Amino acid sequence: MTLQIHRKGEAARPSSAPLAQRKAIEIEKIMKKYPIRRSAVMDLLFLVQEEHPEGRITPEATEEIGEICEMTPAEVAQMITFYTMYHREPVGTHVFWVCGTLPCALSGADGLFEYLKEKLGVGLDEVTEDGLFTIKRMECLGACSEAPLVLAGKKMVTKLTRAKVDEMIDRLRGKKSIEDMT
Amino acid sequence: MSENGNSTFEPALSEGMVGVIRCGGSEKLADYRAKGGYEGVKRVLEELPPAEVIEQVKEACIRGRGGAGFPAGVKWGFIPKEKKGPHYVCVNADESEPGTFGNRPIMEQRPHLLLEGTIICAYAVQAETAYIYIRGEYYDCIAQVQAAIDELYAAGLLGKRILNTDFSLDIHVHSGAGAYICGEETALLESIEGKRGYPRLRPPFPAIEGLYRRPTVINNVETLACVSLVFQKGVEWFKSIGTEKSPGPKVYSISGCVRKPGNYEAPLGVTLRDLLYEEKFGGGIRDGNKFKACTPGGTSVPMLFEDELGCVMDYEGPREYGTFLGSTGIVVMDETICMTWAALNLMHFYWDESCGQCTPCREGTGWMYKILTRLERGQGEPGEIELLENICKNIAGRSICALGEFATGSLVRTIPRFREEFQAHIDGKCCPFEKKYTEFA
Repeated sequence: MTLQIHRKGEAARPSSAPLAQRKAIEIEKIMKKYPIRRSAVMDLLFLVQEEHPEGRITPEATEEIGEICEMTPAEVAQMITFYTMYHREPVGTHVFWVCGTLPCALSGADGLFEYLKEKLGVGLDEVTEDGLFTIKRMECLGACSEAPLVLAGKKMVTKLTRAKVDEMIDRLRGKKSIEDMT
Repeated sequence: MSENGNSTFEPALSEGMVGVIRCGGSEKLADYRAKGGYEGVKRVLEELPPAEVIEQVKEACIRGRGGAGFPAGVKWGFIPKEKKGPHYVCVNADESEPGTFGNRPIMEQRPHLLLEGTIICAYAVQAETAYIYIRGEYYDCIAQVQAAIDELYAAGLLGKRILNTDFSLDIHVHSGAGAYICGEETALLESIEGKRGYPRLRPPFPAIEGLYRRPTVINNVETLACVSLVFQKGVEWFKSIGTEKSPGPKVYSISGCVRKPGNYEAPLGVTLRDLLYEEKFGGGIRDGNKFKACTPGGTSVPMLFEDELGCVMDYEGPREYGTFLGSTGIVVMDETICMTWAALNLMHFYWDESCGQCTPCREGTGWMYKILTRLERGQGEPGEIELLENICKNIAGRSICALGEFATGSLVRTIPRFREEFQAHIDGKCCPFEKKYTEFA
């Protein structure tokens, strides 16, 4: 199933050269860590997902990774569907992983979900019209003393308020860094 | 710390109370060495045979900090002495238990404290490869630990012939990808092998057939940090902290309805009351409310209530109340919190995180989630509370790993204690609580 999304300033598509050639150095580095090729599958899935313009792992990539790791495509697909951080469906450029587990829920996580949904005009797991954002629910993110919080891409932004959410989204829309936000 | 006389306790794991996890930066190799870091590794590699290292860890009685409290030295002793192929060390840094965030400051701020313990452990069990399995969401930890590993290779403290001895070791970081179950030690092994995190049936135990079917030791981050301390400061120093059966320091993670949520390092054996009310720890319940319940060791263990605040927080104390120290993740709920709502939130977690291998856990968590959803919406039928208790009884002990039983943690002691509150949802056909806690500023 393909979902049609309108994207502004979409990143250039990666070269069509097969994965094993395009990422030879990275793959070699990952393979060195393990005695068997299959152990590299999780790192490779991240590698592929991060370079894909829709932030997802396609059926073609699933097959390629299978070839590299000596797994069947079904075995690779099993990994994608088991582990929460891999996506088969498109996600926005910025994924907001919102923690909804008890310690966060005791500090306003439900309200945070509602505010994010209202502000971005999307439900959970959907992509905003401009292709920029997706909200996903995550279980405990291990920063319970700073609730409520989101993992915005790779950056944990904590002790959220409406004002802080507004700033984070404004910055990302303006293509500015959120690295200094805590 | 009134009860244990550890009035001169100096935090050692975190170098001072962590409080807020955010760190200004991580300790570099040179700074760590200036404080006596890697002296332990030097002494062990140059002076002690592996069997003697295991003896000292046994003597120090380092209890597994991940939750089970199993003595680390005994665990290491299970690895076959005769080596017929590779041995492995795996570090469990998949900290995913709700309300538990004590490994994070160690990895972010003091990664070398973890790595020194890992090297000592690998030497003791004659492993030449160690994997640190860090949960995928901990991007900062992965970066800091990897940077520290790179420093060690450059300094000749990792790789071939460490410190010019015959001992060689490689340490690699393996990133998880968002599965709570991978914190279960055999699921963690499956995950490193490139499979779904399905826990394995035991026996064989990992010490005999673990990673790649080879003898493997799996230890938690904080356990290995304690190993570093034992070899830097000595067995006697370690045993002078904490209680007789549970020696050493511990990072307690306190969250939820307290004034000062955070990670606090204290000697094992501090009381729950001190942790929640002392100004240097939790600082009391927020908004001047009354304490209602808390999880003593992550959300997977049965809860403790108001008349049980005297509970001594070592590995023995919570057992007296039918619960466990677990991961020392203390999630506090005050009088404004509905226990049905709290149980529903947690049941969603276990339902979502059940790996799906065993029917009692896979189906049972789903049934309980649906029942709790009905109760909380005021659509519960008479008899459903008893049905919940029945399902709890029929999950516990009937699955390969403990996740099924963990799912019942929020209910087994809570329902008998707050039966009327649960019942009020059915009788009144709505939740009797005003939900202030959902407000978002």
